[in-house]
Amino acid sequence: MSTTSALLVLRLVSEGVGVAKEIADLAKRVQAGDEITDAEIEQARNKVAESVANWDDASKQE
Amino acid sequence: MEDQIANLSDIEVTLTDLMMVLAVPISFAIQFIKALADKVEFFKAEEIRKSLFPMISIALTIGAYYIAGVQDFVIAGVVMGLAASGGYQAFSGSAKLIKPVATTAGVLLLCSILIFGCETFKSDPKAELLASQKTFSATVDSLTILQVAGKFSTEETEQLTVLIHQGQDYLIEWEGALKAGSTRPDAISLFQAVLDQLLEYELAKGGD
Repeated sequence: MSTTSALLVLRLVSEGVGVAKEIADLAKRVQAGDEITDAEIEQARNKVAESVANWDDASKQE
Repeated sequence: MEDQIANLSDIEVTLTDLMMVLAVPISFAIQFIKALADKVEFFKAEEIRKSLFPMISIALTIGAYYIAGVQDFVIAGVVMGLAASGGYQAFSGSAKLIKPVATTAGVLLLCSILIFGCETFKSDPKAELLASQKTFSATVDSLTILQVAGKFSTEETEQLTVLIHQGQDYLIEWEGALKAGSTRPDAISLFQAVLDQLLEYELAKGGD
């Protein structure tokens, strides 16, 4: 496996593990009765916009 | 701890935190086995790989769930084992399960299953939206990594761009509907359909 391929794998694995932990933590918070705030929703919305913008940039550089 | 219910087509599986936690290391173990198998000529045949890795994944998951004392460990092991191996692709007839991206997509698929099949999230509309936003961001980020690595054709890129913007629009519509007092807006099922398609793209790139 080349260094480039290894780095690609590491970045993908990091994405998958990162979000899995966040979702599991979120489920535990809900079960504990913790309330989700509007600020968290807004922050996640901004992250979505950032991810979409990154995709657009990457696809334009094709 | 209270269990959750996940519906996968006609199969109903009781998901627990323990099962979710175990699924992640199992998916990495499968990937490790795939990497080892790449070193042996016999396992390089596509037909062998198509059937072998999902079976190993299922056996490993069933075994782990049995040892961990998971109830209904057989059916749960089959469903989660398929997800962990990216084995859904094998059953769609075009299995190329070798690259770790299939595992990453499998983890994201597990997140999607947890969000949309889980009573915990259904009981809290804001948590369901937040989890969906996070999963969508991670999915788009993964696809962007693949895009930069040159994994998608021009046509695929155009199709993905449309889907990604649709997904973002549905999330915004969903958020607006929640603020307006609706708990189960149509945008949820529309978003879920888009997310499924994006994950299909990611799974399909597993063997490229």
